[in-house]
Amino acid sequence: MNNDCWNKIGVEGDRSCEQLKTVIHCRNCPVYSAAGRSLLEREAPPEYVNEWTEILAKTPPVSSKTQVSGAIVPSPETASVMIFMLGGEWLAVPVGLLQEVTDPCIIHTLPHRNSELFMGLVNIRGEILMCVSLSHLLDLEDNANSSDSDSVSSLAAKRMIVVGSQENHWVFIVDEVCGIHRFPIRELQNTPVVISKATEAYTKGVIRWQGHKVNYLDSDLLFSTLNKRIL
Amino acid sequence: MLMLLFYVGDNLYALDSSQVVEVIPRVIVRKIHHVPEYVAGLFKYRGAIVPVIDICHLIQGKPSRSYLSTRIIMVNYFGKDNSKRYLGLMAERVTETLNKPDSDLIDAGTQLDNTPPYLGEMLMDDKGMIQRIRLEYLLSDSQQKYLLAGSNDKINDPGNN
Repeated sequence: MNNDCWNKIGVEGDRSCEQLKTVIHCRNCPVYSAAGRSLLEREAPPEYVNEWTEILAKTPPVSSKTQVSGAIVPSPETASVMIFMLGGEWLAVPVGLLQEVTDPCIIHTLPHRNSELFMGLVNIRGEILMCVSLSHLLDLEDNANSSDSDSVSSLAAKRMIVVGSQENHWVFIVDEVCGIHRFPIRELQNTPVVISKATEAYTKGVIRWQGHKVNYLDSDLLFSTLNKRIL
Repeated sequence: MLMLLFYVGDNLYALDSSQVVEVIPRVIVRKIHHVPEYVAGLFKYRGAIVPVIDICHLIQGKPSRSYLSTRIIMVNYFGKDNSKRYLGLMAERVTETLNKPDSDLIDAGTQLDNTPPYLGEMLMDDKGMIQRIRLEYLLSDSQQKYLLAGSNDKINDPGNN
């Protein structure tokens, strides 16, 4: 086991090893990892064994239900949402539906299938997904005609989000992704009865977040509407 | 199927990872007597008393060496009454996993009448032939009763032991 070839012909040596052409670096080479593993083929020091015996004996059983020193524990009483901005409105979707947030990429339009709602196809990590104008669906004003001064920063903040359950993934373009917020479900306020905008129809409730009122979108209704209108 | 690999002597064995809870370093076990010799002993695992079986001893008759690479594989073990218990399996050189489709398992036809049923199918790999250990057959009924029965009480009240 004294064959330290990585010091002689490998990356630490003269790099003449034939294997380097395929493995690039010694750390990818099976010879190197086998040598590393052989370090474990030694008598375990008694302190090590003692220490581990103690650690494993002491640790209390992991209980998922109780709150442990501020750690976030999933429970049915709280919900996590992803908050984003679109057309001057704060919106939220359950974080479980969020698949991905990416920088905007090219939208490939489809002939004869272009509508205000359906924008086209996008390529997200090799997967072809449908891009939908959420602002049109929710009848929000497009931010494009807002003042020029903040257009640069708003362009930089623009993101594509991939949202959906197992089978159906939709891509929305949003103005800004604000982050993930966790709140107790009982704090979810009911939508005001007086509904003027179409957005309200998709709103499950209102969340207060950093002084803003955030629309918690009814994702089931949203997806079923999209399925009906596009698929 | 993702499998955890370990050695008994120079031979490779594999264990289906779906029942593995975690792999922990070798600990000091409290020896118990009047049990088969391959039962390494008991140890306190996160507040519960858990038996440890030395797989090397079970298969080849020699205890595992006290090397750093000798580790305890904590597994969920389902008894006859479908109750879930922890069991520690001590083995040598528990350092790697292997992902192979189930169809690669080949029945080598080496099962004699007295071959223990926990020795399962064979698997070909670059590292050599790997034999699969079938966890569900690892303990025979009588041993299971002795080692794992009643450990519910012990989990609730480890102080009594």
